[in-house]
Amino acid sequence: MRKQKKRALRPLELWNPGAIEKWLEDEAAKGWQLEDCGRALAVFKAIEPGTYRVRLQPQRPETPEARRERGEAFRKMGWDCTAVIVGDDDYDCEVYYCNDPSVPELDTDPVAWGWAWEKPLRHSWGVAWAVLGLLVALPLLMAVLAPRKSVLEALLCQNLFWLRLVVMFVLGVAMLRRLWYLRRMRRQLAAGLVPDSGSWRRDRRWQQVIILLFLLCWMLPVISNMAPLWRVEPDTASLPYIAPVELLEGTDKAYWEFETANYVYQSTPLAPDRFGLQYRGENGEHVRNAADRLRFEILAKALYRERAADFQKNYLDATETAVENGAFDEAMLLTAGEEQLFLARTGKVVYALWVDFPADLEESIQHVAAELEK
Amino acid sequence: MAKEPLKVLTESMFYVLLSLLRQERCGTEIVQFVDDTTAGRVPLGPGTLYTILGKFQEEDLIRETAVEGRKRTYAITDRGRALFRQELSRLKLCVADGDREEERT
Repeated sequence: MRKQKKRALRPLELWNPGAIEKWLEDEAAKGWQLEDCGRALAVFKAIEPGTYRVRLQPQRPETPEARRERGEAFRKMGWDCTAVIVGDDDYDCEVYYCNDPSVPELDTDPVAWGWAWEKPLRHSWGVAWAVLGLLVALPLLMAVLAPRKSVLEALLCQNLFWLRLVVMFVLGVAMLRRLWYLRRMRRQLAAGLVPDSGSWRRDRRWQQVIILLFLLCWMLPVISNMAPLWRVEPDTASLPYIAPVELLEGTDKAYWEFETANYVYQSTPLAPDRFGLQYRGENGEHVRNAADRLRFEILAKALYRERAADFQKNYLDATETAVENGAFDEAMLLTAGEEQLFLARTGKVVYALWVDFPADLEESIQHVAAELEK
Repeated sequence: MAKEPLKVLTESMFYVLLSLLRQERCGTEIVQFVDDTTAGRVPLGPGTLYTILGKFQEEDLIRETAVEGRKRTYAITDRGRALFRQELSRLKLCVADGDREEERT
């Protein structure tokens, strides 16, 4: 016995109506008529296989009563609306079937056809540009939404950086593709042409990829939460570290309290090994060690520059002293009153030691150099 | 997209206005009128008809006069009549130009 219903991934974009119409006509020839089309799935019902003409028409703004009346009028004229495809930008599309070859086309005037599509096209054109603009402005947005964290710091913390990058890239490509389709459709309309059917198979494959990626994007928070399960332990043993007791004479371990709020210990795609440890002395002194082994040297250079700039921004009277040592590619000591920041970069490793009390860092610098030279 | 679309009417638009020139009509009556007048030469699909009716209403070329059950009746406005006359004059000029050129050949 033949199945009465079947489901398939719905067409994602409505801006190639010719291809969707051809796909639905091919399905109708096999005995399937579109019955419902939600955000993800298209539901078909079994019909007598035959030659059907299928046409899409954007739903116009009207009252439900007027819509019913219009549907009735269309039916009398040979065109039956069997489903509405939920649109991607709030514009839904009505799907009409006709199996009587003597009935005139649903749209017989290309100019009027253009009027019907004009508003949805314009709207979608704007939305596509807005999404592209958002993608481009995302780093700026991140800076605005998390002002205490620099863009670089935010990127280094990302567990799923590559995945997000891929999703963003595909989203960008999807929007560019949509713009290309919209531009083509607008040009066809301007020339008084009704778009031809084209190939719907290639279109459908692309749509399936996009839908899967959207699902992935939707699942990102869940995956993000699961990420610790397969998180790689950072190798921090090979990174330099100066214990607070070495910086303030006459103190022991008990003198220093570990500040958990400033603790960083992670391995991310862009920063495979990184840690940040901050201690607070009984008299309010602070010592912070931060070391990052980054994936690319260019990131290490950027992080080095950023750390120095952050200190100079906070202490406008900071003085900079270059630290000469063959173990470092670049190193400096920034001083502002009792605050001192020693910064060093060797290859992909960036090290920072911050203290807010008078301390002689010379010995510590030698120690860091020796560690980095290993 | 056609710019300034209502300066020049397409055949379908011209016949929709023509159908309302002497009397008010509903959608199916308009289709019937166009079909009879043009002897089937100008097919008027329902999608086209309702898009034109919607746009003409927006442009105040026609107005809805009565709703009886599921039947909506439309009438031409003064603006619609003026546009029809303007289009008719344009078409007459076109025909005159065509006739003249043809006589010369």
